[in-house]
Amino acid sequence: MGCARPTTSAPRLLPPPPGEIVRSSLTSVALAPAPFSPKFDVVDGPAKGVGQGAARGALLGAVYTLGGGAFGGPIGLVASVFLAPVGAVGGGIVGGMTAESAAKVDERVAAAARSLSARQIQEDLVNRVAVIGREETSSTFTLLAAAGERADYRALVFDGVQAVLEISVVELSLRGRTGEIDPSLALAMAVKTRLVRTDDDAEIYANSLTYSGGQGRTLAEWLEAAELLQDELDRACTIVAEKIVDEVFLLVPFPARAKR
Amino acid sequence: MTRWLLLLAVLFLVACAKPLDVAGLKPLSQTADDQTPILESSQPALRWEPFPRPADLDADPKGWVSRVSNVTYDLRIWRAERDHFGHEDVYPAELVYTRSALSRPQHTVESPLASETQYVWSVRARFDLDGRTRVTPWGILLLRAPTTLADPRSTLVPPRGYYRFVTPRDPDGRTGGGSD
Repeated sequence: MGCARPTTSAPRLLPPPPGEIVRSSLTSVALAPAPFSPKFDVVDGPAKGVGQGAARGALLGAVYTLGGGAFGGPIGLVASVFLAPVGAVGGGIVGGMTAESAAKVDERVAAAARSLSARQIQEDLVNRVAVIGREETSSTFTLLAAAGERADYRALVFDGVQAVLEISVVELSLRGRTGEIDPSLALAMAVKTRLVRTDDDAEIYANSLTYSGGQGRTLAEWLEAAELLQDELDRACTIVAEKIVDEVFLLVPFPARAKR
Repeated sequence: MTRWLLLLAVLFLVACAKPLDVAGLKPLSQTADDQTPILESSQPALRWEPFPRPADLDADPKGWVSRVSNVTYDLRIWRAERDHFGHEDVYPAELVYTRSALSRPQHTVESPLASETQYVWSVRARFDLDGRTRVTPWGILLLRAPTTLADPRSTLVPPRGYYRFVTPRDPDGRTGGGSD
């Protein structure tokens, strides 16, 4: 029982939304934020040091030479095969010269982690779900304090609460593309949701969502523009909160058509 | 003879115009061969299938669809940007226009959108079911190269498959506002 713990594996498709029988019992719902800070990670981030920079640069140099040669037809392709080592050497030199030191990259990753962990992301998301839920549904939403993991919600029955919706931001990450020296990183936010019936503390619905940002910036740019990172987090919270309210309370899938 | 050739040409075109493959209420006047049409107006007139569709009633003749009432539509338009990860190229970067409780399955955008800009848009039906408000899923394109992001039930948000259009060049050469 209790809030979902951080995990890295998540299903790729959402389960069906709760049925109407379940929804009919959701007139008073308590929202519970996770009592932990989300895990932070930089995935496929900047190259660390001369060695990693040179290796990534060499690979990119060779790939771009081959790719460029392919545009020149068969002759260009053959020529590019012979020129690929030259591209690799050139790319390696550039990569080695432009890559930041490992210490500098680690320092930036730690600064990004500090910046994100200082924000009240769990409470922000739950508050947004409450606001959207009140606007979009006729249910009553109350907020539970994140005072610690609750083993048992059954006492809430006496307050008229029929279900608790646990909402946990389990991971925040900045994600780049494999192999780049100083890649653009986009924000990702992994969220788990559990709907628990207060009558018997049974889980009656659960899903996982991941916000996948489209806006890419280098790690240094994200750190320099704190307000842009906050904007992106706000945007992620709004999109995820709307999706949670839709899935749990509102959405009805179209009826499945018979297969011919 | 010319008449027969014309008829054959029309039949050929009709046969070639593949229907748009979507999940949700389908946009009308858009085909699979032109998923990102360049519009003639920066205040486009958008139309989509009404809900419930005949196929929904056929699929669920005595089920919940027959109990649906007070159908309205929610419409959203986002300025699109090239996706960082290249998932089918576009990403709903900024919500610029939103309308809800539209009574008919059509809407003409009330303020000019920026010229020569790619937008994505979507609609869903909002209705009463047994006295409670419910919605259908937002409509999305089922893309030719399916990715997890493009699946209607993907755990990844926001979807990359919203319907698309590009606004025309401003005759005065200006770039419009577009924010609602």
